Amino acid sequence: MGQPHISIKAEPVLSFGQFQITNSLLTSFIVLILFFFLARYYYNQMQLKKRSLFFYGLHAFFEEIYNMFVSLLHDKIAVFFPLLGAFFFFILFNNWSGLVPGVGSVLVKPYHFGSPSMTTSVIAQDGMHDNSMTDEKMMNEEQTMDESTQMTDEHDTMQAESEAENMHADTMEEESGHHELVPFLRGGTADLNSTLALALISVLFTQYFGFKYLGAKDHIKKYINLKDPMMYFLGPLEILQEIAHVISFSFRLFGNIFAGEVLLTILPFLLPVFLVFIASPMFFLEIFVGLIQALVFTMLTGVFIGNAIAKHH
Amino acid sequence: MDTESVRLLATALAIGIGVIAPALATGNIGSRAMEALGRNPEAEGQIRTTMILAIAFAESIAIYALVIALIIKFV
Repeated sequence: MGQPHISIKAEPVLSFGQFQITNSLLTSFIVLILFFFLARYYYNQMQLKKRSLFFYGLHAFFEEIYNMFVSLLHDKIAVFFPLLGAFFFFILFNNWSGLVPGVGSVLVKPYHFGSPSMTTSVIAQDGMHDNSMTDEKMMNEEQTMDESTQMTDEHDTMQAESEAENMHADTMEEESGHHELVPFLRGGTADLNSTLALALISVLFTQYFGFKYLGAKDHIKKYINLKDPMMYFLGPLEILQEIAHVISFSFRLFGNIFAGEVLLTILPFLLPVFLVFIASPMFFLEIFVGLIQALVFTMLTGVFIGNAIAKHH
Repeated sequence: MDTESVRLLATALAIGIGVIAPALATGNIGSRAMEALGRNPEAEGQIRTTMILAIAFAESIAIYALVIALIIKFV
């Protein structure tokens, strides 16, 4: 019974018409709203003569980040800091959102189509056996399997479906009632979809700034250059590198944050109950990792943008 | 061997082999940062920032292996 719930993908908990809202997306929205109010607070304090202590703390942090990017982008900083700062704070707060108590420990029944009123919230408990759930769960699993087959185009649909049925039969046996509940909230960047979206935004903006500052001709010349025999072979590698950037950006962020969550989930299960507090220093490690990963993501974006707008010889 | 034991073995091998190179890289980065610090101690702040970033890049290789291990284990 003491098995922790670990899922590598975010699970749907609510729906908005046909649109399923996963727990990671929900956390991202909450973080976004909190961030909005923080930004409003910062702006309001800026207008005042006498400012609060919290403002100065925030301001010092903000200035530290700003100076870090000044050394990277020099005089173009005013153009790029809105993008990079937004990246930094969005990723930072999303990384830390998974560490807030209650995120990941409040469980609900998973949402799926065809059965209304599936969002009764329950506090985390071990024995939530319910046999009537199995039919609904089957539908849910088949549906998620279908989604995954739609996403992987290279797979033959028939084969994938039969595979899905086989896997389904396997997992049915292992999963006793415990796995029916999913966390209501989950760290925003602990979902590959959100990190992939961030990586795509980063790479596409790099391309956009390349076009804007170098001009279309000079920018494309970096990738396709028929005159220079050396560049003729290096050009395709540059294109490949841009694709690799998307993968490395998204996997680095997702891997770090998800691994941290798995660590924090697993660690208490390895200890006797009265020693669980030993796991608490790991929270500081995860706070540090969240900060570093937000910084790395933003720094790398800054470096790539700096490369893209630099004039080549 | 049944599927479950092969899966456990694959998880252990993926993360075990995958972290060898990042471990060497992290050690190398640390030692080089120490050397740089010994040569000019006044540049401590800059060296530390660069070192942490470089370690994060080396660590991300290990994280790829970890993601693979987690996918094998949980999917």
